[in-house]
Amino acid sequence: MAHDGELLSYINKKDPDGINPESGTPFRILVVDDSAAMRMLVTKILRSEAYEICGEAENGADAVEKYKDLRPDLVTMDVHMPVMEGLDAVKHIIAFEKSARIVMITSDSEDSTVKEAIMNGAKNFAVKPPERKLLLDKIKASLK
Amino acid sequence: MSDNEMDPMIDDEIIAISIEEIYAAIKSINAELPALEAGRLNEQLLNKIFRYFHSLKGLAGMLKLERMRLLCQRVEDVLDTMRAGPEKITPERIDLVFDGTDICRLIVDAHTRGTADPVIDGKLETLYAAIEASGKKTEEGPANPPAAKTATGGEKAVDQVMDHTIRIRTEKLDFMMNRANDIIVNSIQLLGSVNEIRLLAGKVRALGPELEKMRNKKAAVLREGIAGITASFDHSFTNLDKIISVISESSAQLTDGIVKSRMVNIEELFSLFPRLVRDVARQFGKQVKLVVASGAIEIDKQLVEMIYTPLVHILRNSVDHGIEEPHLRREKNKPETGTITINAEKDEMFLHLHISDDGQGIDPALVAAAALRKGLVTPEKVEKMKDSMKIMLICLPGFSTKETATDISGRGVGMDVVLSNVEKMNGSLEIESELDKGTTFKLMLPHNVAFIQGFLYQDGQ
Repeated sequence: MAHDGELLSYINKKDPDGINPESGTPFRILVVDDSAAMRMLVTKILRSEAYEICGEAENGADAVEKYKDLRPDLVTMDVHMPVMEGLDAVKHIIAFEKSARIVMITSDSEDSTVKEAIMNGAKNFAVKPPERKLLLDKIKASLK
Repeated sequence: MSDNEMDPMIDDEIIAISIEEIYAAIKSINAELPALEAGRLNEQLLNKIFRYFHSLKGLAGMLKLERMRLLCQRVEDVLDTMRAGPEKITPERIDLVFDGTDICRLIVDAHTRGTADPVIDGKLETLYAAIEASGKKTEEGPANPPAAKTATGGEKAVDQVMDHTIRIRTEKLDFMMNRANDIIVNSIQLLGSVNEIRLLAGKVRALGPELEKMRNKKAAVLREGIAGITASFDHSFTNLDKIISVISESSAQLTDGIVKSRMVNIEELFSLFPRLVRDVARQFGKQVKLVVASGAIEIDKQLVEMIYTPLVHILRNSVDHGIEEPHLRREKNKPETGTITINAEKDEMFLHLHISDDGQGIDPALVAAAALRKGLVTPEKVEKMKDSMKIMLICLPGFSTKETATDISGRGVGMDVVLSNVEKMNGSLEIESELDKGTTFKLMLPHNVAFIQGFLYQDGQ
């Protein structure tokens, strides 16, 4: 089963990044991307460090809804999506909760949209396809 | 981890879903791109197509298909330019996007097959040169695409589970269908054999009365033995009958289930046509748009495969011979862009397909004259023909061959092929036409691809 590897590395690892040291419970992450394959990959990477994936969304509008519903600790947000783009979702979420933590996931590190997103409150960005260590480092940093 | 190896986090499931998403994006691009018209700015459509290529780029990156990733980047650049204004939307640029899509397809096909495709690099070179020429900014980096690498990964099965659906190659269903047939046929033969044994058992039973006539002890013993055997036979036969009945019923249901699982939405077929019409229209210098009207109609996959070629022929002919050139249409006060409409309906027995164009129509007199000239029909027969019959003459084999430079045979390639294909499917073809108004091809195709109900008769039975 796909999760076995993640579970094992969680058990074997001391202090996985995904556990909030203050509460002892996992950080809750909302994963947003219009590609199921990408969501699956991000989820897998995060779970291997014991993060809890509290929800997934396929487009910006759904992301905003789910954010309001689930109040995750952090959101990973794809930049280009149908219905509502990542940038707009960021603006809506930040408007809703100023301290929201959002990490943009983008194919293009030169993307000016990423810069705008950060100016609008996103905390960090990672490039697609996400390399495990890099993504985990950025998320860990954003959660501080 | 080297640059060319995939992240170990990317497991088979993720790969399979990524490939599925790539094919879906390519399909969507091909379905929607023809709607992009030169000189007309359609922001929504451009953004949609841009997003598809963006997705493709991301997926290519994940699968380490570097050539494809770079390709998508460059196509994005072209699309970006087009977003600047209607004057930037030129037929050449639209072509670049089409070509880019096709090459993406080739790359991912080669990847799933697990073998390199030698034509890809050449095509990439040509495309990139064309993009340069169209004056677009290209990504910083190597001017030439990297050397061809043999695709790694071997052949990945495209079977996958997502949202309670599974994708299966029709060969697998055909295989199952054949096995179900084998079961049905063999269970009938089994019944035959059982009946044979029943007869033999009857003969054994008949020995009883014979033995009765021989009033001696040994005969009596034999008779008892036979009675015992006969009783066992009866018991066994009762069981066998039950079992065969269940097998029969189950295999009928199995066959039925497989037939149903072979049904696909007719949209699968129709989504290929806007692209086709667009390409043919370009080839013949016409302006044509395709309108498809059909509900959610499900038909057998085999039927879909069989009607593909006839429909392609009809569409080609409509574009080539039906729709007039733009300047001629203007003279007739018709919109410069011709319209071809496909209508599909299904009733209990038949699938009805109507393909209409608003072109120049078919002139029965011209058709009849051409048929006469080519010796395909005698004057006596033509005399007696109604106009509607004369029009059908275009389906005669040999009609489409060109005779002279001033050939006015009207419809061209393939109508005889269309008719023979339709007849092979036990369907019918009707052509209605009005000069200058247009032509409608009406196909009526039985949609129950009849499957074996397994009545196999062996010699002498």
